[in-house]
Formats: sequence, structure tokens, C-alpha cells
Amino acid sequence: MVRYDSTSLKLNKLAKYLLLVGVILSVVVGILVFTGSQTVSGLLSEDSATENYVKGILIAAIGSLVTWIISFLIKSYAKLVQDTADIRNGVPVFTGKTVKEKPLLQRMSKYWGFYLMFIPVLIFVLVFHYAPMFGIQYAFYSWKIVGDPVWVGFANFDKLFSQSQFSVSFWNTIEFSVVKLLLNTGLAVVISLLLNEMISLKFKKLSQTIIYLPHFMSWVVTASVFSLMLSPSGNGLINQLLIKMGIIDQGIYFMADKQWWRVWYYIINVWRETGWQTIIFMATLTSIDPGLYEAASIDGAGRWKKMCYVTFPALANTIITVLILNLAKIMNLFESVFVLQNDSVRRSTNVLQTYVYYQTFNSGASADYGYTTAIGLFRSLVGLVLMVICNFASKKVRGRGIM
Amino acid sequence: MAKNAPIEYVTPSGVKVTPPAHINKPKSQITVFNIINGIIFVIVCLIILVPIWKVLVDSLDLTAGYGMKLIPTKFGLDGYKSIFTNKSLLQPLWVSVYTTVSGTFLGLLLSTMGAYVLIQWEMPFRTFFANMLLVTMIFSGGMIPSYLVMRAIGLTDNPLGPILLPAINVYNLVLMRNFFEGIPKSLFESADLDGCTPMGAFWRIALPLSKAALASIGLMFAVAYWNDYTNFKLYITDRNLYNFQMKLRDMMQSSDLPEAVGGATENTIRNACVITAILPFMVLYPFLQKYFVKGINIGAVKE
Amino acid sequence: MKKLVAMMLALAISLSLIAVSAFADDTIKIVMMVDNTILNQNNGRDAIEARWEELHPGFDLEIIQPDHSAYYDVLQQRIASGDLPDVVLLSSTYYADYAAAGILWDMTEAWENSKTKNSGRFTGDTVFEGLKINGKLYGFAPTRGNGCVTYVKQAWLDAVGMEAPTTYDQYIEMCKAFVEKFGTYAISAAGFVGNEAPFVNYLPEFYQDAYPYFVQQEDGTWVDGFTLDNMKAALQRIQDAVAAGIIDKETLTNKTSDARNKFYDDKFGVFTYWAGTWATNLKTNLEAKNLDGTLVALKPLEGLPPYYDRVPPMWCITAKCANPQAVFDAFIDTMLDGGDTQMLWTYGAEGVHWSKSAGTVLAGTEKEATYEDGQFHMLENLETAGTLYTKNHIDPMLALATFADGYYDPKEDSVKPEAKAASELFNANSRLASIVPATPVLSELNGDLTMIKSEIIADIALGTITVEEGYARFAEEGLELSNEIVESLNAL
Repeated sequence: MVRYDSTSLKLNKLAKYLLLVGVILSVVVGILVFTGSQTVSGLLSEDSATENYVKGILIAAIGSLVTWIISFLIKSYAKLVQDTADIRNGVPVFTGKTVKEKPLLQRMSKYWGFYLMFIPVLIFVLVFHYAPMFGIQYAFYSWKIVGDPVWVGFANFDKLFSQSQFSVSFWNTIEFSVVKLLLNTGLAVVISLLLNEMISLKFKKLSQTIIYLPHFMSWVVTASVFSLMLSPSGNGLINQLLIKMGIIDQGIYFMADKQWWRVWYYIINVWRETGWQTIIFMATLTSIDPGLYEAASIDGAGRWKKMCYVTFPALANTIITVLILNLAKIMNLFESVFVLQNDSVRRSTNVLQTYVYYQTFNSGASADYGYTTAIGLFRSLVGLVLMVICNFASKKVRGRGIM
Repeated sequence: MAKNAPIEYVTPSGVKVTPPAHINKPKSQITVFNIINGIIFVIVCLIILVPIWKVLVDSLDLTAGYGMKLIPTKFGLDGYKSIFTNKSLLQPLWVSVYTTVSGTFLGLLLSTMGAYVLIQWEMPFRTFFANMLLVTMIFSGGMIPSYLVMRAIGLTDNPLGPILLPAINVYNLVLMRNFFEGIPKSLFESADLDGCTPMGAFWRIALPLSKAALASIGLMFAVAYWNDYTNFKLYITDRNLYNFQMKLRDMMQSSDLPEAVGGATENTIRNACVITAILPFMVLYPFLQKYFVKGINIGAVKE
Repeated sequence: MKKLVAMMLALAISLSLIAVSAFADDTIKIVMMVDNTILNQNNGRDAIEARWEELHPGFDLEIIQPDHSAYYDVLQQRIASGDLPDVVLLSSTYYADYAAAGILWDMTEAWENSKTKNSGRFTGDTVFEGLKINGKLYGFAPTRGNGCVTYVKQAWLDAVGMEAPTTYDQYIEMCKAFVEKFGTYAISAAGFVGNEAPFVNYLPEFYQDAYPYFVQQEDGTWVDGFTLDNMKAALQRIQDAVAAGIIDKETLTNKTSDARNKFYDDKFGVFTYWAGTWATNLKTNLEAKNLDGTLVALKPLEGLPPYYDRVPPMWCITAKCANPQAVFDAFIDTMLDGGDTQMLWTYGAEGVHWSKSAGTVLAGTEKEATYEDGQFHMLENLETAGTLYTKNHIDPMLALATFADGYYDPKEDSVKPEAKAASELFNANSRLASIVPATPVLSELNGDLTMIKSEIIADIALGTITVEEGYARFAEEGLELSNEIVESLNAL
């Protein structure tokens, strides 16, 4: 029953067609390259021995993605036009004739103060984030820093995908970060809720101070303390405890065992990061209007009901925001894995970044900056896809995304 | 702000009530739940403290070695002494303090202003700005281009570099926006009707109502600035501009060398460095904490 | 009118300044980049710079010294922005890479004609042969790279009533006696195999002649040392030693600091670690715990090859340098001049880092010492009170040239006896770890191969698989990679 604004409709149509054409074009070019059409692949890279199927898939994927982003931007602009029209005209939109849109400038002039306020943010973002982005082009070059960059097309990506351990380390990255993210956030929420229920203010403050301490220990120090605690010898606190409790009769070398390593990896991460994450949830909890709790009490709601109907809904927004924002950084996993690895478990616990690190370290040469950039771009694209999917899911379920 | 004025609430079932005065006071009833809750936290805190205790004990033990100890075998402050008697410690400490203070202030300013603009849902180009910020979370130009930009604008070997660069943090900005979103729109609308400029409403409504958020986001900025190491090592080569964190790492590195050992073993100094890095926030946190434990009664402000 | 005068005056001043700087421009500026191996700004680096300029009139030295962990990042940033330094200190990997890229000045000829090489004091000809790439020299190393020797605690030897071993059998007997007597392991290390050349330096007695990396045989062909029978024997020895409790099984997860802390805690008695100043460091740390700090540095056991020497970092002149020969003569050729400049690079600046005039150092502490006029002594650290400087860039024990006849060499007075003994033993019993050329195939495949090898070594050492099973795994997953790399090396 919604009456559409004409500009908004046009824009939406444009976005739809653009997406259709863009995706079809990308896929067609991708298939052409895939099947080895010499002309197309010749255009893209002259002398790299890139395997065609990788290039084909990449072209299709990147092409689709780019058009999707553009159409997304157009659509969001269309929505904005629609919304402003709706709001200005109030309900009559449903019945009236085509509503004449106020010119953009006039609408913008209402917000001049806000634009002014956004200028500093804009400058910082442009200078520190957008200006260096010209560097992304190096993903398609081979560049040892010394000498000039050499155009290699998709050779860097090809190299990355053809690494024998690529898929193992790729899936490890996803697994480690997703499990870690869910565990940390979930436990942080639970801890925040429990802290919130605590009646002794002194103990509450003390607990808060203690649980956020581990965040200040560097990963190197964390790893060395935990490798001592997990030692199979008489020094290993955890093994000693398990032996005393009669659960095991001989120390387990946890860090040398491929299964145990993962378990402890998650535990150590929870130890270090959960407390820190509670800060943001605690802040959200304290901004809940106390009146709501009181009202709920009067309504006869118990602790559990208050948690379900007052506390949790207030937290949900923050939880989802934190989860989705962290998805963007999901592929950056490096240090926490790196410091805990050893020769015995390395091949089965490598994540993308550690794998690439060892590749370079043992290559007998310094890193190729182009290759490093290509990996960075690949990581960004994976992060983007995950974030967009989750944001989309959030929109479907809650009716809004994170921004 | 009329804090003591009677407040009306609408309960989920739609009944309007004015709560009796005593209900505003926290209940101090001890229930089974509270006891279990307390026990859980005692256990959680103990688990968290064990590894930190190990570092603390080793930093105070002149014979600190490989194993775990409950108390130092040979107590001594030489580890800390060798850090704090270092003659070039003052300058890095000062650099850390002023980058942290000014950076946190700038970071908070940018995050709150950006966040405040992003809750203007009907503002043309709002979504565009929001997406523009999100993109920077995902894509980055890389180490070399960042350096080239920093150099071009004269921020290498310049203490402004490590202050300005981390001041824009989209993650914090989005969280801040989340908090602003919780402020009732009616407050801004009435301010607008009163002829308040956007900036005025920002100072008078958005900021005072977000103390908990400011404290937590501010803390995140402060910690990031205090612990900053990457930006200093990449953009600063002049040792007079090193911050405390760089200096501590330097000391840890040189505790490997025989002559730097002094009265304590290398291990004692290393552990003392770790504890020293934590110290400032152990001191600072209790002051910030009051903003985390006390909720703000928006209803009261509304009156 | 006043304004005009002021403007004229300003113009005149700036013009004259330009003129002055133009005339003064016949000094040669040397921008050098170095890691933390020279004393830093907080430790009197300016005095070193001033002293160097005083010794070399006509040159202006500018030192860039980034943080040690970001050294190569900063170097790359500078190169990318066109700010290449004139002289730069490089590790072997970057040295080989940059030489291949043609940005390093070929100093073969300059070196052949140099004063240092022809001084008669230079002792590093074999080291320099190892630094050449296809017969060409692109860098200069003032010192050797140093390596590890095996230290045994004298107190432990006394406790079991044994002498320092000279053969492998005696060595194992000693370790077994230690295990029995002290109820702990005899040896610990950081990793069953190192992660960079020379790989086997922490457990040389067990690896013996085996080497898990590519080696060039006498006929010039390359072979993967991991596939040879002596490696299988070595891995069997390690497995047996771990099973017998001689080697700490946590060697797998030990970091170097863990291994050191265990050694200081008297958890084990035989430690293969760096020669030189580390001998002193081990001793002082043991004594800090009221343990006997006397350590016996073992000569390589009978029939075993000498210890491995690392490839040292090298000073290179870049293509950016306008006058490479002049910089070579002034900067590089004087570094080991046997006189004042060598003194500066070895011990620092007189009056700041060391002194020959009468005085007392560390007054009021237990280490207080008074020196007469003319007596060489190191001065107190500017940063850390209570400690003395030990050296500048050149470690006196590793220097590749002695001081000139008649020039006073303070080595005898400044170097601790245990460090000197360990160093001399190492220098007399070491060989340079060979540089393996990086072929494209090696660069691509060696990462995977190394991880497979390390995993197999770790699993065999811990006894989770037998040597046969380990090699079966290698045949399945690594052999192909290994063969491809060997092929590419032999095709060079």
C-alpha cells in the first residue's frame, strides 16, 4: 500500500538493471576466461602463467561484487529519497497524486549544521584512510619495493590460491575467528548480565577491575605464561590439578596435541578478551532507564522476566553491532595464533596470515609487497562479504542494519 | 534536572504508575541467586588472576625463574628499580601522557560528532556517509602507501602522527552511534523547537546523557593510545619522540644483555615491565568506574 | 619605508645564508641506516657521530636508527619514497635480494684494493668468501656472525664426579648420570630444530653431521640434507634421548627465554647457547640465584664437525650514493682501521663510553672500581645507572681484524674471562653456515617443505611416530617439493 516517489522508483529500477547487467557481464567474461579464451585473458595479463579458472572465478566474483555495491549505493539513495518524501508529506502519500519532491539542496540546507559537524570526520577519513587506498592497485603488481612495480594481473591471487595449504588455513581462519567471536561475545554478555545483578557494589567494582586486566598483557607474555601453566611436567598447574583430582594419571602435553591445542586456544582467548568486551556491554546496561526496571517490577516481573523483556532487548542492538563490526576484521587473525603455535601443530593450525608469514620467512627472499597487498585485498573481500551478508540478515530479521 | 521529581512510567501492560519513593533505592535482599552469582565471580576472578599473579610474583622475586610460585622466594623491588631509575624514562612517559590525553580527547570528539550526525536519519547522504565510514573498516591501503601519505603531510617523525592517525576509529564511532540512538528523539525535537542549533543540542543533550558511553569509548581510546606501538615504530625514528610503550619494549629487549641486568635477573625485569605497562590503568580505572555502575535516569532529564 | 628596509634586510640575510650553504657544500653527506646494534640516541650516539666526523673531515654523517622490530619495514618505506640511505646494514636475506635487484654497489674491486684487506691484520677472508654472490661482493661485515657452543655446569660435573666429555659416548654417559643424579632432564633448548640457518645449532651433538636443509656436496651438486641417511640416524638419536629423559620434551614449545629460565633454575645442566657475552650473562644469572656460575664450554666432540657460525649482517653502499668509492674509503674501509675509528665502532666515544683518565666508576655500589690515569675502562651507562657499557657496534671478540701493532687493544681489560674463553673456543672451532641461493622454485615451495620437515622432526622427537613412519610421511607429502627445489638449485 506504499505509494512510491517517482525519483525513488526510477533509481530503484536503475539499480536493479545495473545489478543484472553487471552480474551477467562479469559472469560471461568470467566464463570466457574460465574456458581459456586467449583474447580476454591476454588482455588482462600478458606474461603471467595464471591458471584461467582462477581468473575466471575472480573476475565474475569481483565484477558482481562491484556492481552489487554500486547498485546498493543507488538503492540506499533511492530509499533516502523515498523516506524524505514520505516524511515531508506525512500520510497523504497513500492517497495523493505524485508528490513533488523538494529540491535536494533545500532539504540539505535544513541540515547545514550537521554537515559542518561532519567535516572533521570526513577530513580524517579521507586523509588517513582513503588517500592511502591507491595502494590497493599493488595487488595486481609484483613489487619488491626495490625497483619498479611490474604488472602481473591476477598472478598474486593465483599464487595464493594455488598454495597447498591455502584451503586448510583459510577455513582455520574462519573457524577460529567465528568461534572466538561467538564465545567471547556470548560470555561477555553473560558476565555483564551477572555483574549487573550483583548487589555488593564493592565486589562488583573489584570484579570489573579484575576481569579486564588480562587485556593489558601482550600476546607474547600471555603465551609464555600459559605454556608454563599447560606444561606436562611438574610445573604445569593445570596438569597437576587434573592429576590430583584423579582425572588423569600422567601429564598431557596439551600444546603438542592438535585437538587440545584448539580447545586451549579458545580458552586463552576467552581469558584475555572477554573481560574487555564487557566494558561496552556494561556501558549499554547502565544506559538503560532504571524506570523501566521499576515499572516491570510493579508489573510483577521477576528477575528472569526483567532480563528477558528489559535488559536483553536493550543489549541486543549492541550485541549485533559488535558481532557485525568484528566480522569485518575476521581475517586479520595473526598474533594470537602465531605465539601459541609450535612445530608439531603448525600445519594443522595455520591461519591465512601465519601461513603466509612462514611462506615468506622460509622463501630465502624478502616479501613481495604486491603479494602481501593481494592477500590483504583478499582478506578485505572476505570480510566485506561476511559483513554484508550478516548486515542483510540483520535487516531482514530486525528491520535494520548496523548503520 | 529535577532528580527528585515524581516520575511516571508506563508499564508493558499499559498501566501508568508513579512508583513509591522507596523503590528508587537499590534492593539489598540476599537471595540464593545472589550467593551463587557471588561465588561464580569469585571463581572467575581467581581464574583470571592466576596467570597475572605469576607475572606479579616474578616481577617482585629476585630469583624469578621458570616455575609458578605463590609468593616470591627472594623479595625485592630491583626489577622496578631498574625500570624507574632509567634516566631516559621521563621523556617517553611524557610523550605517552600527552598523546593519550590529547588523542583520547580528539578521538572522542570525532566519534561523538560523527555518531551524532549519523543518527539524523532523514539527512540527505546519511547512508552514503555511513557506508563511506564502514568501507574504511574493511579496506586499507597498506603499510607503504600509508607511510607515503603520512610523509607527504609531514606527519613522520612528528608526535602529531601517532595522535591524529588513530583518532578516527570507525568501530568506536559506530558503538557511540548505538548509544546516541538510545536517547529519545523527543528530546532533540524539543531542543530544535527551542531554537537550539545542532551543535547546541549535541553539547547540551547528546553528550550529558551518554556519560557511560563516553567513559567506555574514552577508555577504549585511552588504552589504544597508551598501548600504541605500531604507529610509533613505523612513523617515528627519533628516539626523543618514543612513547612509554616503545621504551618498555626496548628495556625488555635489552634485559637480555648481560650488563643491563643490575641487581635483578633478566626475568625479573621482563615481568616488572609487563606489570608497569598495566599499572596506569589500574590506577585510572576506579575513577572511570562510577560512570559504569550508575545508570542515568533519562526520564528525570525529560522533566 | 620601514617595511621596505625590513624586507631588504630579510632578503639579504637569506641570500647570504644560501651563499654560505652553497660554499659549504663540498662536504659529503652520508646517510646511514642501522638497527639497534649501535648505541642509540639515549646512549651517546651523538657523541659517536661527532667523533666520527672529527676523524673524517669533509664528511657529514646522518644516522637513522629505527626501532629494531620495524627495521626492515622502515627501510622499505624509505626506499618506496625515494629516500634510500647511502649506507645500510642488511641481513643476508635482504643482502641477497637487494644485490639481485641491482641497488647495491659492487664493492669487489674496492675491497680487493682496500687498506683493510691488505693490512695483514684482517682475519676474515673465509667469511668474506662466503658473502660473495657469484664471485661479487656487495657488503662488508666487520665481525663474524657468532654461533652457539655447548656449556656444561661445573657443579653438575662435580656432583657426578665426571670430567668434561670429549667423545659422544662420554657425553651421553654424562647426560645419563645427570638424569639419574638430579632426577630431571640433562638438556633443554628452544625447538628441536631451529627456524633459520644454521637450524641445528641448539642440539649439535645429536645432529652431528646431519643438516636438515639444502647442502652443496663436494662435487658441486645440491642435495636436501633431510633425505640423507645421517639425518635419519640423527633423528633416532634425538628420539632415544627424549625417551630416555635426557632431552626435555618441552623443547618443542620452549621459547629461548623459557630455555634460559630453566637453565637458571637449575632444571638442567647442559645448554648449547651463544658464545661470547652470553657466557657472562649465563654466569651472572646463575650467580644471582646463588648457584655456581662456573660453566665449561665444550669443544666439538671427537669426530664431530665444528660449530656453525651465522652469516653476519653486512654494511652495504646503495645505488643512491653519489660517490660510492669515497664513502667506501671513509666509512667502510676505516671501520677496521686498527686505530681510532675501529676503537670508536668497537667501544664508543672516549669520555662518554670509555675513558683512559683517572676516575672511579659505579661509586657507592659493590662494583665500584677506581682507575689510574692511562688505564682503559668502560664508563657508566648513561641510561641505566649501576651498569657499564660493554661495546658499541663491533663485538671485540668477533671482530675480523685486530688492532694495529702498537695501538692499545683494550680487549684484555674490557672482556670478561669466561666470555673470552667461550669466544676463542668458538672462533677456533667454527665454520660459516652456507648461503643457499634463493631460486624462484625454492621461494615458492620451501615454506611448505620446511613446515613438513619441522613437523616430522617434532613428532619423531616426541616419539609419536617412528623414524620410518616419519620418512614415510615425508615421502608422501614432502619429497616431491624437495626434489623440485634440488632440481632448481642444480640447474643454477
